[in-house]
Amino acid sequence: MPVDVQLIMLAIRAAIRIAEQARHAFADSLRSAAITLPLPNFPAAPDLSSIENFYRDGDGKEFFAANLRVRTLVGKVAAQGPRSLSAEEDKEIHALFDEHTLLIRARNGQVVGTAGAESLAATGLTDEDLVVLVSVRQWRKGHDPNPTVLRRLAGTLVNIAVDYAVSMPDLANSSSAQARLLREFLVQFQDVDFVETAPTEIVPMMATSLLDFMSVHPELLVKDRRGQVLVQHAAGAVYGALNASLQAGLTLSEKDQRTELANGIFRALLRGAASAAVDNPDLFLRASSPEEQDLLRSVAGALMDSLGEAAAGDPDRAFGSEAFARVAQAALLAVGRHPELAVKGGSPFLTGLVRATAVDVAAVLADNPGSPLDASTILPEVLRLVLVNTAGNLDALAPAGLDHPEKQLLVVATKEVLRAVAAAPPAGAAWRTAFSEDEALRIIGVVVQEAAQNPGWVAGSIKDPLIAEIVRELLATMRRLGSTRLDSATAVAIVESVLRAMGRQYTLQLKTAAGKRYGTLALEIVLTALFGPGASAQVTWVALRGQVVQDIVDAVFGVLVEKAVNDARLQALGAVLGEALPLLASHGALDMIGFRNGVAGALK
Amino acid sequence: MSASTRVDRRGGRAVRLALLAVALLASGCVSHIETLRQAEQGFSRAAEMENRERYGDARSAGAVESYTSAYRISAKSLEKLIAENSKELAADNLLCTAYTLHALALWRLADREAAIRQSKAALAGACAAPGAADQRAETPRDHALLVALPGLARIDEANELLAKSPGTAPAEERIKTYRRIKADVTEAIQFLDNAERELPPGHPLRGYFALSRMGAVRVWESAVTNLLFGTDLRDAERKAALQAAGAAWGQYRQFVQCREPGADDPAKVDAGLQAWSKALGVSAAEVPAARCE
Repeated sequence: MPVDVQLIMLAIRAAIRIAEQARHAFADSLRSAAITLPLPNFPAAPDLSSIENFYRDGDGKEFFAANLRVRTLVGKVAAQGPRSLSAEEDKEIHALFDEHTLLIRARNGQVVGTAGAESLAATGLTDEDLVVLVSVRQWRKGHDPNPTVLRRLAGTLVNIAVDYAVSMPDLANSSSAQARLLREFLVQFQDVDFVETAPTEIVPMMATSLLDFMSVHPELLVKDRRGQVLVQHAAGAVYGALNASLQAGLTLSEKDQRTELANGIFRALLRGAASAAVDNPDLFLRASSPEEQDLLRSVAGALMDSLGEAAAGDPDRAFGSEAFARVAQAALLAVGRHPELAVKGGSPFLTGLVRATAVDVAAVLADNPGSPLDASTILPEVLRLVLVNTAGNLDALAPAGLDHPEKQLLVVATKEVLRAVAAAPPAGAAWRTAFSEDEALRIIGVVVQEAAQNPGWVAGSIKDPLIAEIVRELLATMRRLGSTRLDSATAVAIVESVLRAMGRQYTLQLKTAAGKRYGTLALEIVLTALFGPGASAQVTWVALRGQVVQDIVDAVFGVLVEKAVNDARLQALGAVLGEALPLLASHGALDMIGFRNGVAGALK
Repeated sequence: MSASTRVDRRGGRAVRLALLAVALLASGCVSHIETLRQAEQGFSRAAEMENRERYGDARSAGAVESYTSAYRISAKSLEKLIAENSKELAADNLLCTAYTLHALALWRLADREAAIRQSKAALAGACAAPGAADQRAETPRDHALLVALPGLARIDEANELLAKSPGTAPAEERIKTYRRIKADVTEAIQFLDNAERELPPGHPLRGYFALSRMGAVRVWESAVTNLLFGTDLRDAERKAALQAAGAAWGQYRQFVQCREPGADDPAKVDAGLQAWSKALGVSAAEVPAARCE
């Protein structure tokens, strides 16, 4: 049987067993859960019957003998009934009763004057009666005949493991690395009271994910103690994140979705952590330190909290498992480089960062319904880019501090650039091609990398960073002046080239006296020379080869990076292109070096 | 190729399919359990609200309507659940719990006849006594509650009768009413005692029964004061009620002082004992000390 099919069959059998056992566990927990019982109706507060009993036969006999007023009032009630007492007499006998009961308690050395019987008795039952005694479990503590949840699941886990042992014979050997890894995983759950916490099926679901992972990647995680600890920590972190996300009022299906999401995050953490361990062995699996658990918990919490709703409980549906693992890896990397992001109980900054990014991406795409961009493709990569690049320059990119992840500059810049890329071409645009997802992500990647290297790109305006403004200008210029046959990949390369040039040459960002940016004007000149009405047919013909346009833009902006731009040089650029481009196009060999030298010579 | 790319997709696909299977199976198989859970939670919330309203130290506007409505919703939902899913509930050993909650909800909605009918039906079937289907071991709390339920209803009836009786009626009429109240209370205590005998030692339901028993005696004591004044019966009846109060208080003390060690703050336990001693007029010195085994 092919490995894929075998795995699928194993997983389905495991799932069926999990579902059966989870149902039994659910029924057990409901049957044994405490219910609050209503008390029958009765007069709880002390009344004249209480008073008479106290004085005649209870602790107040001595007062009955010694106090004529007590005897008179109690006798009146006995002979003529409670209604025979006037309101004043009723109040008086109750006051005497309170006083005498307190006196007796004081004599007996009991506490008087706190929230004890003297105040509670006036109103009825104590809190102890109302809260504790009426909340009744099915069985006395420790006498529940049903198996514990972990024990109930044990059979399921064994069966699942037996299935997997066919393809992993070492699993049957208790001293094998694989068996040890599975044991470390289960240790995490041995003391958990599942009735009070997360759905029980999470344990076998995660066990299946772990076995699945081990069967496909026997070389990862099982090699040494550090891998076992990582699995244990990841399981604990995911379980903790799931519990934290299960607030009251969720329906069963919402709980199921969260549970599935948690398992998806566990798989993503396993894959992400394993990959990160290979890529950055110094950063990950350093030690079985408490910090590692905080790190994993922060990442799990961030993904759980931020993506619970976006992913509708199924991370694979939102991201695809591979993309989800990449996000997890990026988050691990970000926290690994900035341990301060990992705090006990999860990181609000990391959570906020992921949530803000997810919300922004979703909002931009919702604003552009005609865009071919899909959130499930765009979001994980945008998240990865933000998280990875955050790791490089946290202080500069989060000027508002760790309390304000939504003001993280990369998040803001990403949102604005994505908005520009996703926008439909304006009416009358010459170039109307839409960007594919890969192309949009490439532009965002350049923007994020540039901004991470030089936070000046985004530091000026929290609402609309400079880099986003420039991307909009460049795209508008290409929409206006580009040929209908300019392909989108070339357009992306042009944006990349111009942005990188602007990053290196400050004057390209400056504006002319007329308020136009030099960098944008330079692109205008190049595009006009290539596709404008004045361009020769020979030049336009050659320029329709995307690589040629890209080489020309690279050459022109390469020169502009070397020489600061000004009005005179811009004017000279127009003139030299009018001569150099026909010359370039006239030679089939396309001498780009000669072209570049010619442009450089003209821009003295 | 990066390491993350090397980590291929095969495992993920298998687990995805498995998760789908779990979701399909789980959603189809547990809906009756989930409905019961919701009804149970609704019932508990209503009970908590009612207990606070009747016996707590603060009243809130609209509380009576709120808990009555919550009981009604719970009762309707349980009635439908039992009618449509009794097989599934029985397969999961939850039918007795559903019957019990339904009977309790009917009781609190003052439909006492239906509540008792339901409890009898349950005890004859899903919650049968040992020797029949031997279901008792499965749900001791539910079984004992069903046995006690007619007694709980009697306490309400007695209290209602007391509240309606005018203290101005002729002595013969008052004595007649008193006898009915006493009969109800005596019978209620009998039911509670029988139900408690069904429970294993130390079961938490014993605490609830102790409270209910003391509540029943409070009705009796009040009835003596309010109805027997100026009659020859009064003194003997007051002493009989007080004796029953001492016994009920002793059972309460036995329970709260002999629970598992560390279960409660001793000061809170003491406050409860004092409050009840004061309400019942019982002297702690007259009641034999608790003997914890």
